[in-house]
Amino acid sequence: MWRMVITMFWAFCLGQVQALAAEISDAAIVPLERPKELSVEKIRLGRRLFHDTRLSHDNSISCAHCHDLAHGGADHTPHSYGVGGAEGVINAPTVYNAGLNLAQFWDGRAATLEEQIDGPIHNPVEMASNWPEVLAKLRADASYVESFARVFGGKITEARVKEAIAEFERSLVTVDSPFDRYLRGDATAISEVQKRGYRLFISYGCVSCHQGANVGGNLFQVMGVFGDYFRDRGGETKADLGRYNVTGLARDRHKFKVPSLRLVVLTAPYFHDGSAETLDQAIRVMAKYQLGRDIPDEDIADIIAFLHSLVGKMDDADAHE
Amino acid sequence: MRMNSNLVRYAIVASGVLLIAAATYGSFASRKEFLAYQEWSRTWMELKKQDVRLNEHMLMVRTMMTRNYDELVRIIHAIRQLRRTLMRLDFAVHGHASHLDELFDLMERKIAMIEQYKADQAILQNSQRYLRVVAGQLSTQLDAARQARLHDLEADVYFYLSMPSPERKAHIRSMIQDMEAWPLASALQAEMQNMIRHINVLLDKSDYLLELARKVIAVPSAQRIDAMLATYKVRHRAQLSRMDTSRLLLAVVAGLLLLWISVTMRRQQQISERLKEALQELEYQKYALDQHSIVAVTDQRGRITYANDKFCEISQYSREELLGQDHRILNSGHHPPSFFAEMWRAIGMGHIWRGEICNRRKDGSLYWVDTTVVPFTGKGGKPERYIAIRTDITARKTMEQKLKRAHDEALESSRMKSMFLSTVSHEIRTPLNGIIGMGDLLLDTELTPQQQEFVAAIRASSESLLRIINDILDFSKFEAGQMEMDETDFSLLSVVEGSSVVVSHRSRNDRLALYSFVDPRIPPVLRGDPGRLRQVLLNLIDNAVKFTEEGCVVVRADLVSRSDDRVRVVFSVLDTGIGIDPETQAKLFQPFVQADGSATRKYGGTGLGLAISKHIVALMGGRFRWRASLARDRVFPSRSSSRLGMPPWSKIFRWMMKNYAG
Repeated sequence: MWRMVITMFWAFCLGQVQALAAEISDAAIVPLERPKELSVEKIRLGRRLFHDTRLSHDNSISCAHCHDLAHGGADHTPHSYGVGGAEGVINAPTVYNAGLNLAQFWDGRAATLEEQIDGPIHNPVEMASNWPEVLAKLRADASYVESFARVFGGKITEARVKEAIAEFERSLVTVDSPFDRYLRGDATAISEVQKRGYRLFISYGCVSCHQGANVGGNLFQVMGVFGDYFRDRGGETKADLGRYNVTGLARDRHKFKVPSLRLVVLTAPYFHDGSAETLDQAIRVMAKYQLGRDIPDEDIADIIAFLHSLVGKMDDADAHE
Repeated sequence: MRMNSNLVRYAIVASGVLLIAAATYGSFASRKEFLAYQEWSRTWMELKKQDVRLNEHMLMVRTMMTRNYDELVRIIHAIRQLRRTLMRLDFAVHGHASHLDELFDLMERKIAMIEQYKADQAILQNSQRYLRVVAGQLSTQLDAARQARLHDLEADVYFYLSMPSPERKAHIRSMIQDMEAWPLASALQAEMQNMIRHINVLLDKSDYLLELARKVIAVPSAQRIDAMLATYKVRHRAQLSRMDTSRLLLAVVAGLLLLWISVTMRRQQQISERLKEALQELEYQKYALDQHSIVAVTDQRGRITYANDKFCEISQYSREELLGQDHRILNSGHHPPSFFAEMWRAIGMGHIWRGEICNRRKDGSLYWVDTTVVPFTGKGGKPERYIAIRTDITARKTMEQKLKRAHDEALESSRMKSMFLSTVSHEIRTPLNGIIGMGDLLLDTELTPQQQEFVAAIRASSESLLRIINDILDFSKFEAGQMEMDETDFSLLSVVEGSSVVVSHRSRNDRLALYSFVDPRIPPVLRGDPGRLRQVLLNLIDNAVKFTEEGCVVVRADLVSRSDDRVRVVFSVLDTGIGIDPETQAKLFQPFVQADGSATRKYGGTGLGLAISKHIVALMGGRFRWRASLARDRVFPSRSSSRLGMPPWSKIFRWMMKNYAG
């Protein structure tokens, strides 16, 4: 009798400790959560705006032009091309899971998705437009007027356009990846190679920066902790100064937002300068300049296999209807 | 003045309504403000909570209780979201939000330090993890002594990471220097260098991160939030009490206004009731007027703008026929144009005009109206319209005309009669004088006593007839208005004395005494008609003597007043005769009336004497007065006549003599 009670007590204590351990998660990477409390109406309106070329000066490009939702939410050139074929100075990051980032743009100059929209709208090498122009075009469209009236109960304003687009972007979370299923307890969701890659990802220290649900995107880090990446690459530009352009602090020089690796296998080329064409190259650069070590070829292949398991569901218009 | 008071009243009401609206709005606004304050303080509490969580998670990151920064990112996002909310709310509560900048600048500095910490912590973690790997790889390729040194170094570094001290750091640095001097193969040397690089990173970052963590925790954001909350609470309480005061003030003002409005409304109601009563009264009066009078209103050019039923009835025109027409359609032609011109002149000047007008009906017959035209002046003092109120006086007018005709006829016949009388009496007097004259002449001749008696009778009858005729002649002169008064100088004394003497000669009554008295204050010579005066006196004294069997008759002339050119005298004739009762007194001065029918037979006379006397006295500016009682004892002390049954009577007349010659 007493033995049984004591056993149960120990079992209870053990359960509590395990629960506590689970709560203070040791896991650097956690599964993506499906976003909650979003307005379906706003998402639908935002999706339409996201694909509307009228947001650009000459009605030639939409948001989706550089953030191709069918191909990882990014374009596949080192630098993006804007209105009239103008070439940008930086590599377009994916729009997927962007809502989880600590800030927007490589240098984090926009705190929110709403703020971020101002950037491409005004950038002369992107959409090259302005809000009065965009709003005038949208207000001329009776179907938009009707939609905004229904969704916001009022007329079309800059804030509402931004809110709709941002709401849509917040809905773009690539949930249910094989790796997330693995984290949730499905041991067969990923292959053994991928499991090995995951262990290497941790042991090599990649996970120091690429962590959280988004596997990155939640801190800024200096590019070139061990070694001077920019001297080695050559041709340093203003965009290469990174967060320094925002804060003006010396310690923010060459500091960039750590990108999410959730869709990294779909969004080549890599880095803010689009300099790495393949993942293999990118991992080698990272190992050298960020980790200060070398990674053997077979480990790189395993890590790439792991990265493939991070890809979850991409935007499916029907899923939100 | 009235417009001004109205304006003032409207202004008061309008301002009152505004005040009440403001008060209502104020109470809504204060409720809104209260809700805003509630949300605001909730937001502040949330901010405080997130700040605490930020510190907590910072410590969790430092102690590696958590391996990812997602929660930190969420907290920072939440804090920034709270900042935006607070900016919005502070605009609502305080109208500005600049004071928030200081706090959130501090907050942003803290966040920036945390970002820095996150980055360096990642590097530190990486090197920490790698140190074991690289040291393990190295040691397999070293000899035992060096392996032990390497092991010590590794242990010292980890020891330093958990308990940093300058001595240990210096010791580690010296150990590294020592190791760098080891002669090793170049591949091994490179690996050693890589390890040293990581150890240096660890040494640098460890100190730096410790310091950074201290700084982050030391940021006084929580205290700032508390202080801010405290000051805002104080300010909010002050604002609340201020709001209470102003609300009280507004309530008082609104109450006063309500009172004023109710009083005003009550007064207005009273006024309107009085007005209603007055209107009703006016309505009654108008009704009464319409029943009695013909009422018409015309504009300034004389066109009829209103006609009442009476007007239509009497004129026989319908209202439609009258309205817009001129009053000339009623013109009978009876009055000359100047009559109407005069009327228009009067009312044109704003005067009320009254008159009697003869109008013509639709069927041509005439009617008379007593008309009052009242002009109503408008702005500029010019008459704007006229109200004519008329009364039908046709019947009266007809009667008047009849009466006038009758009166004229009567006057004419009276005049004819007087003319006839004066002519006839003159014609009679001439032969009568002949008879008297011849009788006198006859008496001077030799006659038998019987003849003499006959002639005397003829003469007496003739004289009596002459007197009658003279009286009739005088009377008819009055009737015909032909009596004229002389104006000569005369002695009053001789007139009075003479009259008394004439009568005393005529009466020859032994039982009757005749006295006369003239006031010595009366001037001796007066101006007037002595003949007529004598006639009156004779008449009165004759009467007195005639109706007094025995006793006395007194004739007096007393002075009443005297001015520079006028003397007022009272003549009195008093007797002790049979007297006259009051009914008879009233009739006595009418022609052909005597005190007693039987007395007429007894005493004779025409009964014209007193009537004539009255006329004469009136012509002289005097009048008759009866004195009912006579104090006989005083006047006649020696000869009291208690035997007489009736009270004595007296006649007193005042006679004013014009002028007297001095």
